[in-house]
Amino acid sequence: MNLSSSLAGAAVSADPAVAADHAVADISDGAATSAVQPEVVAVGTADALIEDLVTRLGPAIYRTAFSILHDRAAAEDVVQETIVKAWTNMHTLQETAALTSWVLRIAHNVSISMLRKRRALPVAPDELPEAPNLGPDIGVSVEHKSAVNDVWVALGSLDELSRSIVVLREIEGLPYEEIARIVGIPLAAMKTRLFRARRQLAEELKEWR
Amino acid sequence: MKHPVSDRRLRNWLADDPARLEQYLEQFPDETERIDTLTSLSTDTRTCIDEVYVAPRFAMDAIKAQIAAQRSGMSPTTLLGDMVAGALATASILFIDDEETPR
Repeated sequence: MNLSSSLAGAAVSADPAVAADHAVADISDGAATSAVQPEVVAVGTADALIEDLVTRLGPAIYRTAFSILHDRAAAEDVVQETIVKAWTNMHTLQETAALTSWVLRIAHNVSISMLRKRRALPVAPDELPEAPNLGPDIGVSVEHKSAVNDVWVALGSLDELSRSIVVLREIEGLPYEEIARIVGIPLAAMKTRLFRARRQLAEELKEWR
Repeated sequence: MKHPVSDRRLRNWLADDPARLEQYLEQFPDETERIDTLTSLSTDTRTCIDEVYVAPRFAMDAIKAQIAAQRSGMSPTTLLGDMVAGALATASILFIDDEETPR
């Protein structure tokens, strides 16, 4: 199923320039959670579209959330919450071309909100972030595992916002302007954070030239 | 503000004076590419970052199931119960098959 064409039919006509931002701002404030689905989408089709959303954007949402929270289970919760929020508010999205950015901004807001809640609670030692599990050893050298672990530790030395900016740029390959919109800070400030985070990573990994 | 500044000065700002760097980028956005090149990470590091944050494939399937359950009004406990019941049913079939297999 073509998600873009289905969603294009679902969009309403308001001011396209600000609609996605308003939708996300509303979501982050916990205000707009209308359960009304786009009328053009039948119930059975809705399930297929949600599945499609998870398939297409789930991994990017997960990476964004995981980079902020450094907790796999929490990142999975963020994917679920983000998809549900995005679906519920899909009728406010004006440009389907902006879908990825819009959804990642929701994911970013949900992750930050979760982070704030977690910070308010004491953390038990067994809940502290662990090094990533690379799975079975087949085909993975000890050196490579060690390198991934070093990168994990180096990433842990960055603040959450910088980590998410690094992932959005280095892994998702998003343009600077889009990243600034997603994380909600001015463009020059976002670039400065990215460049300083890279410098810090390279320094931690003894790459700095 | 002087423009363009040397790589050395940019490195100093990166290390110790982020406010100055931000101001410079605001004033001279064309300098972004130079700083981008100056701070680019190695391919190995980028590959490792990708691996650190990779989304497990099974997680997406679980999330799809959870959302579907949520939409159909099924509680996560019911969903878990169904999954356990399914696993037990499969195990019992395997167990019975194993018991009944002539030796």
